[in-house]
Amino acid sequence: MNSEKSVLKRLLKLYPVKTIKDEFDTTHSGEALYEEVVETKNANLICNFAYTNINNTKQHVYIYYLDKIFNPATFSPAGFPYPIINQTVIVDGIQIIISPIVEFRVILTNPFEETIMNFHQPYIITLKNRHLTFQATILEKNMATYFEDGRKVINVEKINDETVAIQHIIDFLNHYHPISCDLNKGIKHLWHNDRIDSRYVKWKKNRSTTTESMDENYTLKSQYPDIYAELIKNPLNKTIFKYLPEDESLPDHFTVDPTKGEISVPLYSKNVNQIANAINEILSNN
Amino acid sequence: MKFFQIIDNSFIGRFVDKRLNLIASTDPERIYVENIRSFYNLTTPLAKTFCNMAVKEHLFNKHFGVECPNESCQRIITSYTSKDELPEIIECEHCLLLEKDKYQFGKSEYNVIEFYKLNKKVV
Repeated sequence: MNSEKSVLKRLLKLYPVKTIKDEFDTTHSGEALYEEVVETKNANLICNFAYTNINNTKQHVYIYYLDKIFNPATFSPAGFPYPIINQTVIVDGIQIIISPIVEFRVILTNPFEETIMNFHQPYIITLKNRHLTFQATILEKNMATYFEDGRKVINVEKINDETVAIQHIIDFLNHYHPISCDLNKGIKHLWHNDRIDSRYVKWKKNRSTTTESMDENYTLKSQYPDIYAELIKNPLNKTIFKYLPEDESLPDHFTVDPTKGEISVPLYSKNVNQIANAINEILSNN
Repeated sequence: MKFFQIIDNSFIGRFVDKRLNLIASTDPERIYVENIRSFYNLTTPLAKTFCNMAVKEHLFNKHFGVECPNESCQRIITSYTSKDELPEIIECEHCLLLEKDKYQFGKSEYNVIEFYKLNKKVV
């Protein structure tokens, strides 16, 4: 269940097929593609591919605000709660790559079985100026895809998911007192300037929480300018945004929970810069 | 021609009062049987008959909207002009983007809601 090859195969499945094919020069498809790569390439090669292509994955992004400017000179990896795979100096900060093992407890029927499944979860962690950003690769939620046809998954429990890993790292950096970064100002700037519009928005009214979920491909500001003018004064909760220009600078769609400082890109990006561009554009206007 | 004038000149205008209420509240791109029923205080079957007559008079076009069956969503994912076009499998992009466990649905799982659009050729 958790042999090295099985875990590497699960790691590969987090990446777009095209990226794998381009890297490993294979023409196979489906399960045969992953089988060929884990049988013919060594573990280091596969892991290196994974760590250098994190920006091709679907991602959950968590942004925290630091109470003082991050000083790269004082950062010591000693005691960091996870093995650091790579540490890079960037302008005004550092970028770290980690890949903790996440465990899922899975209960199956036909026949009944309880098993633990291990997954690599690659992250890019950025410490820059007053922000700590986690870009966590989204893991496959549908565990049934890892078992033979006819077996039914009746329960899945994450034993140590990304909230655990993030909390450990926040504890390590507690001298910066990280708090969730409110993104309302940055995201509303993009919305005001018609860089984005929303297909689903949840916002706080004084005494209630309201959701507007647009039918078909309609977007809120273009269809209901009066509602937009009202909601833009209030805190936003989880909202789906559509990127309006056709320059592929940002992901076509992404969700943001501005009040919690969370961005989610649950579809593969069209290029490796899209998620970083979204983070930068929101933070630079925040 | 304005929406209310079209309605006014049709059979609906001949049958019912309070026509201006309909005009003020209805999106000509989304006319539900319930809009017609509630504005004119009709029974649902009668309102449905009115809508179907409006289709026969080429005043309305009938559409079939596929509703997302997720309890917390229920939006219209997409719509078609004929029942024959309804897909075997449909994906709700909102549920996918909101990372719901289920976002793909078979024909037997989703509900189809009928609505009407004002025929732009008569506007």
